[in-house]
Amino acid sequence: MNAIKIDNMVKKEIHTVNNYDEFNEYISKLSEKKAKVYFMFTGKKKENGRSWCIYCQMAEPIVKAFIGELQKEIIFVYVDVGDRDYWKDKACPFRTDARCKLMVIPTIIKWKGVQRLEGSQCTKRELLQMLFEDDD
Amino acid sequence: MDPMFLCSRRNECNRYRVSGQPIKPKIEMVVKDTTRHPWEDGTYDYDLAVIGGGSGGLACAKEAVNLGAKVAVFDYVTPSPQGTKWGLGGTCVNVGCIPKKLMHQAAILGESIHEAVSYGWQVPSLESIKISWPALTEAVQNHIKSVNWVTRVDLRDKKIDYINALGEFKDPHTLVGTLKNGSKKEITAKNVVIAVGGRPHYPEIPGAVEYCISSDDIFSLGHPPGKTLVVGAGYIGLECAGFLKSLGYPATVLVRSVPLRGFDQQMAQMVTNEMEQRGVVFHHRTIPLSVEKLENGQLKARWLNTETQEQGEDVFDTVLMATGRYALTKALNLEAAGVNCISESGKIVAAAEQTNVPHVYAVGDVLEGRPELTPVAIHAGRLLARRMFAGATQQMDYENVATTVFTPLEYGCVGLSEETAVHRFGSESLEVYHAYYKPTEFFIPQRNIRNCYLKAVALRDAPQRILGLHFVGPVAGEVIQGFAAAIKCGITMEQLMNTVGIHPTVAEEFTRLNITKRSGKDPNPASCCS
Ligand SMILES: Cc1cc2nc3c(=O)[nH]c(=O)nc-3n(C[C@H](O)[C@H](O)[C@H](O)COP(=O)(O)OP(=O)(O)OC[C@H]3O[C@@H](n4cnc5c(N)ncnc54)[C@H](O)[C@@H]3O)c2cc1C
Repeated sequence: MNAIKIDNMVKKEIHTVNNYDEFNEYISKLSEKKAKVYFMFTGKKKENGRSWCIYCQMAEPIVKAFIGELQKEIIFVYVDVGDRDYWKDKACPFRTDARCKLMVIPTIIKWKGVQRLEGSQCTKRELLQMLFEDDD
Repeated sequence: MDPMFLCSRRNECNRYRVSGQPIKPKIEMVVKDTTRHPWEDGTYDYDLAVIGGGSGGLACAKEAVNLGAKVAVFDYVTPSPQGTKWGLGGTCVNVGCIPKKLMHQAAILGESIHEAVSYGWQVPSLESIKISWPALTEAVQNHIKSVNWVTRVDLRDKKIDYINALGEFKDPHTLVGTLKNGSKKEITAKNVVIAVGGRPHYPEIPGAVEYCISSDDIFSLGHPPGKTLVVGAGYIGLECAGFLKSLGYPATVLVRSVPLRGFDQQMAQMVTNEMEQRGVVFHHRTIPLSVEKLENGQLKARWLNTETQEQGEDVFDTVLMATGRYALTKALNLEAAGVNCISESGKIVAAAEQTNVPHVYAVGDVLEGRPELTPVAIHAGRLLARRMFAGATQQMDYENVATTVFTPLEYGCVGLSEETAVHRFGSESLEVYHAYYKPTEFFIPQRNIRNCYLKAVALRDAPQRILGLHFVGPVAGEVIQGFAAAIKCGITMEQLMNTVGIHPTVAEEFTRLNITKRSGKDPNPASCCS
């Protein structure tokens, strides 16, 4: 796990996990944490630093900017689901894991919630806004 | 500019119309109002405000934004007497069609486990197979919550303003919403659609509101329902009793008049026969008298047989009221809008979904004399939006709407019941084709086939146009849907009999119908000795 950034003002944590094992490990340590946890699943970055998945490429800067401005106590975790072949495999563990029910990338989910944004929804600020709203 | 010129409906709008004559706008007419409304300069916050974010309201709102309108939707759920509340999406998604179908499916799966043994599946110990009620309700509620979320995302994405508040009229074009925290939100709209649907009715007997649940509560009930009394034998009552019994909870039904009133009564009989054979107890011609809470927490219910005047009683864990639904029009302050086309039952009478106030419309369950079904509300809402914002003229056709009752053996139908057909055309002008049938997959597990029955009600004269199709059996909804399209196209018995079936299916039985009731021939399958 790398790139841990802690915003002291609002205790915002941003992490990156690089594969399924790291994802699992991250989740296993999660239980005690109180803050709301969100995962964004995207395709592996190519040498040029951009994801092989064009929709992930489009979403990432928008999400990054949004999270940067967000004044909320949350944990936001970028999850790398691997390269194209790995993800396209129907048996890819990210797809079969019932906890995240991934069908497409990019997907952002609220951990243990029903809230999720998929595909081009991740590029819309008003929908991102909703995702981080407190609701009952 | 004279404000009335801004009103697109100035020729029809009652504000500006006297005794059917479009009148020339006169400035005094506006001045007559003691207060001046913000919208009277011709600008409104919205082109359309919808009160009620259920099947009909959301469909209308979405179609309207697609056509370029600016739209707001009020949706607010008043908790049930037992405190159950839910999210955006209305009855169907939260406490109706969806959770009902999921619990029906859970019931069918349970039965399939038992049948699987006859097909060779090795099931460890059949006795230990039982439902976990908390697991079932959690799965169902999670699905509903994700639908609520997707609905909210969809509204936001389409730029429909969702206002989570109880809406009411302040004046014909102004709505006030009361939010959960008591604060108010006021908006003006050029057009208003009332799509508030309905809620379960409780009979006025001691203990009803205090101790009984309704369909609003059953799908999220925090504990297993146990032995259950269902008061009412409409489709909701029978469906609930049906899945509860199949999930392993004893079920008793109080029938006031007849089961499935309004449906074909011969078919209703098949449905209840099947339920009785599966152990559901029916008390016919009975009305509830009281429900009392015992010290051990159980509920003692008493009832009266209205024919024999005999009283009966029993102790239950749960009493579920399914005695009809009432429309939520009271809270709307309709007088403030001038809407007065209200029936005795509190529903809105609106021939083409338009009330007596031309810019106020209504769709869905709130309408008097219309089928209370989700696809009806959706279709009517969509067509209405097109008429409001795209100059369309197509009206909703409420005839020949297919429907299905999801009892253990399902009942699907489209068109007229035999009774209604006889009433309209006379039995001499009708030919009724019928048959009992044996679903192939029923043989191996030796499932009861006695109630697998279907019929076609047709005009007697060639080519025998079909007026109604009725089917009791597995997956009745899937069977009837396609035939509903055929009925819409005016299918005749000749055409139906000339249709080649798909074998082996249950739907093909419709293509094999050939015995008329009039012939008196045995409608049982040829090789049957049961
Ligand atoms: C147990 C059950 C099973 C059913 N099964 C089926 C089925 O299998 N198939 C089928 O087609 N139909 C079924 N129905 C019927 C179906 O649910 C309704 O026909 C449909 O939901 C009607 O839609 P609507 O838009 O008229 O109202 P609703 O879906 O009821 O929506 C109305 C909404 O408006 C809200 N509201 C009310 N007043 C206000 C106000 N003043 N301000 C703001 N919001 C307000 C309500 O809370 C609700 O959310 C079932 C119903 C029940 C109860």
